[in-house]
Amino acid sequence: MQSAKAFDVKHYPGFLGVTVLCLFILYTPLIVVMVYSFNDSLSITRWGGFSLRWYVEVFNGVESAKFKSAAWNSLTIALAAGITSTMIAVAAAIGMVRGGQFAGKSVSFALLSMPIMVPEIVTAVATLVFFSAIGFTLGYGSIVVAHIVFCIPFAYLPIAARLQGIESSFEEAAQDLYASRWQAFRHVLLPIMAPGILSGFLLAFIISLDDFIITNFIKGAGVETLPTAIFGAVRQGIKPNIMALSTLMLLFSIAIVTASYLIGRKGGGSGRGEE
Amino acid sequence: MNSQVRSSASVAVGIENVEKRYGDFTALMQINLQINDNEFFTLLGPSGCGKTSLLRIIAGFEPTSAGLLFLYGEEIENLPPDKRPINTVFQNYALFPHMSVADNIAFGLKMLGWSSSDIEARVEQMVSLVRLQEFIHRRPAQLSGGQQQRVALARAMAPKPKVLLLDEPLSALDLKLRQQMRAELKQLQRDTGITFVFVTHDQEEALSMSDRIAVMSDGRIQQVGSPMQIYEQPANRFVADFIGDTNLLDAEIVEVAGGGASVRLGTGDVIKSDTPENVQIGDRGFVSLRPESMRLRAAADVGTDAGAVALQGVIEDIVYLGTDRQYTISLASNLRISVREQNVASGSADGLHIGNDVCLQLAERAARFLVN
Amino acid sequence: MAGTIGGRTVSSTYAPVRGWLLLPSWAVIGVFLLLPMLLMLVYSFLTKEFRGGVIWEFSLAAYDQFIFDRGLFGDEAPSIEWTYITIFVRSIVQALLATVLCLLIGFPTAYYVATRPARTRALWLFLITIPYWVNLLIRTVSMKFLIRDNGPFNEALLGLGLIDAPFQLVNTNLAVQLGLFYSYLPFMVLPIYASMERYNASLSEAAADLYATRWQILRRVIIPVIKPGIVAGCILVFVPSLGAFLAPDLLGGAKTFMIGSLIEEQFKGNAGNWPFGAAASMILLSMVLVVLMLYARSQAKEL
Repeated sequence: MQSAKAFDVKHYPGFLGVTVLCLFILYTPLIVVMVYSFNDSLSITRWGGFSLRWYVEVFNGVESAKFKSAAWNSLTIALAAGITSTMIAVAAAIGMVRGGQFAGKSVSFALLSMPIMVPEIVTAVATLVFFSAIGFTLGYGSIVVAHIVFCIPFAYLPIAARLQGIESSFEEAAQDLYASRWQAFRHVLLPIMAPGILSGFLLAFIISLDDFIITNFIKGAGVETLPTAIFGAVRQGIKPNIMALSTLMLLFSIAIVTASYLIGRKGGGSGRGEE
Repeated sequence: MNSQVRSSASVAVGIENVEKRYGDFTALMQINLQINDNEFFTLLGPSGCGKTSLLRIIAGFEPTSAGLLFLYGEEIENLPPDKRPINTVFQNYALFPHMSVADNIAFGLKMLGWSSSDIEARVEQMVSLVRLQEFIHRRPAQLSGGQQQRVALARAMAPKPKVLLLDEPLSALDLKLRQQMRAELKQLQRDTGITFVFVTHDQEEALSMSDRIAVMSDGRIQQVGSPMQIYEQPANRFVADFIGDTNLLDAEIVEVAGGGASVRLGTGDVIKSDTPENVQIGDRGFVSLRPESMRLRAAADVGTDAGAVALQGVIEDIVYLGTDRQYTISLASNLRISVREQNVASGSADGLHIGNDVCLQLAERAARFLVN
Repeated sequence: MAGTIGGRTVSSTYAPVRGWLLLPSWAVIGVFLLLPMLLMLVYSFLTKEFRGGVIWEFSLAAYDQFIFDRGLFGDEAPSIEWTYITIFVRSIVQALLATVLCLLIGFPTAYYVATRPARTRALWLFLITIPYWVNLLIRTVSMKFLIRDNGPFNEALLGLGLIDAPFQLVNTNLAVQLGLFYSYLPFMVLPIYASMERYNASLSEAAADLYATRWQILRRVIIPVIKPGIVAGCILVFVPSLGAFLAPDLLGGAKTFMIGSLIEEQFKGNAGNWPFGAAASMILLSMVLVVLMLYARSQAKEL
């Protein structure tokens, strides 16, 4: 008897193997670092038994003050940049998706996607050159501004995609029922768009949290974020406390992805009004 | 058309020379229409005929390119939708998915600034009108199609609009429910006395519910009239063809007498026909013959009673349709015509087989001559 | 409000206020990105100041320096300078290789995941997506840790007796390639997956019904149909690989320099040459633009 797979034209032998290989490649370095972050040995390559000492060192060691302030900077910058860029992106998405046809539409789209299209290193040096040309002091503020710019397209894309899936008859119905344009947005469009806005914000938040190249150029002296602090530390070799810190950041990212995945699933169908 | 007509209280919606263009494409040209107070008025036409554009213009979702729009005598074409006392039942209902049934119905009232006690009373009244009392706290996604339809109706009627617009509201329902909702809608319109403007491409819906129908095609109004007028006295070839089935045969007027005329068909036969006014001998056009307006008899049975016979032919095909049989008859000069006979009782189709010679008898006023 | 243009509905409920809605994004990106880019373009045509910065004097020296060597004081007969050309060629080759490798692994993965039943598909996709969200720096550092001379990779090979001495990967082009491939692999999988998810499986069945073998179906039906996703994936890998900084910086050395490191070097510290760095940035940017324009043209043809 033939196996069922022989009849399934969608089945390609070997593709499962490649998929497993792909996951293996993606996860091996991360898992290795995670495992070694629990290594008791001072020598980072020999296994000396399970220990949490490097985690203790992240929070209480000599470098802990640096890490704490870097973590605080990273979080507050990511929140400020994430919220601001999301608000800008919501307005832009409504203008683009609900603004009808207009002459500058493709130019506007090109401008909105520019931060993704331009290589990051170029954005970084251009921002540095520009800030020094206009005399903008490098530091916390310059990082926030640069992150807002960089995060706009990442917030915009999921929000615009969500908005495109929402039929315009919802706002029309609201306006037909005597809501002003603002009320139609506030009471109808905004709640329906909310899952898209949230995933746009989370993406922008993570992108800001992850950014190394731009931050590294424009942070100025004395201000560090977690990625720049880690980069500075690994210049002298990969120490176990860095692996512990990396593991913590990794888990934080995974927690956020999981949250956004769950939110996305929950809000997935509510835009269409049928079902 | 003059200002007296516009401002007359009996005209709910007055449309004067309205045009709509999208770039180079003209969706509506020179629309003139008066929809009366307390009327169930239907815009009927195939998709792309402009009926939805016209409805959206009345609702205020789209600006006109030219022309004037009146609501009980007041000019409204420059008012945005939230300033027009007109409400819409959308094709997909557009129920707000994040609100309960009650919140959906209350939405317009809140926007109008009603007091919460008035809103509560009105919502209660509306849910009992559409018989949804038990579902008041549900979300739209938890309702069936028919229930969603009722919520959409209740939501649009709650603010007591002067005119209610319905954009193909039944098209998402299955056949049984659609037929039931037709009766309910008609009843609702009678009970509330609100002017309904109903858009559909379904002629059966239009014929069964409307007081008057405007048949549209290619951005123009082809005919306005009662369902019976539209069906029995179509103004032109498009209307005759679009409403119901018909046979359209080339014809020329050979005699004009009283209210009717005699026309010669392509087969050479001359038959009596209804005509529009002011036709003259020699006018060319079409004759519309409804399939059910003719009687079919086997040539052998007719015998000497040839006086009542209008046309002769051969049965080419028979299709059994349950209540009816549809015959395709080939006439002289390679013309074909289709005829429907009811299946009254067994044996009624005796002698009517493929290949048999048959005679066609026309009912009184069966033929209608059309110039274009 | 929706108007129909060419059969497509374009919603315009907020058309009267769209200018106000778009203004913040135009202003922010215009001032803080477009303007800096224009400034860079100008800088690339200026004269260098020795401690970083520019002198406002028109000069083509920055571009000239890429191709010609005119001696330390610029007064010798020009000879071709291969240093920077080599760096650019290396960057392009590395980026192309990374794209091909990602495609070879990414396509079967995306296909496999997209053809899973709905329940397991979400889990597979979740597994593929997680590394995409993990900090790129952390991923690159992890890769470096793994392949170091005395790192777990070499330890494992030594332990298995496959090699006698540690296999030196770090500071080689191969390590940089591995880093690029590892960094951008998720960028290849996700767009192909998105196209594949919309692929109508009965097309494969129809082709099979018409006597096509599996590989003929893949080549003649599936790949042509999901081509936009494949092209998007290739661009999402190629473009950031071309200007990559982290992988060559952390995993490579002086002999594996890429454009990104070259640009960085000009602006870090006081030894840099700003006009030269600006010119390098403009050359990199124009290469990216050419790729994007080719992409836009291919997309326009599809429609």
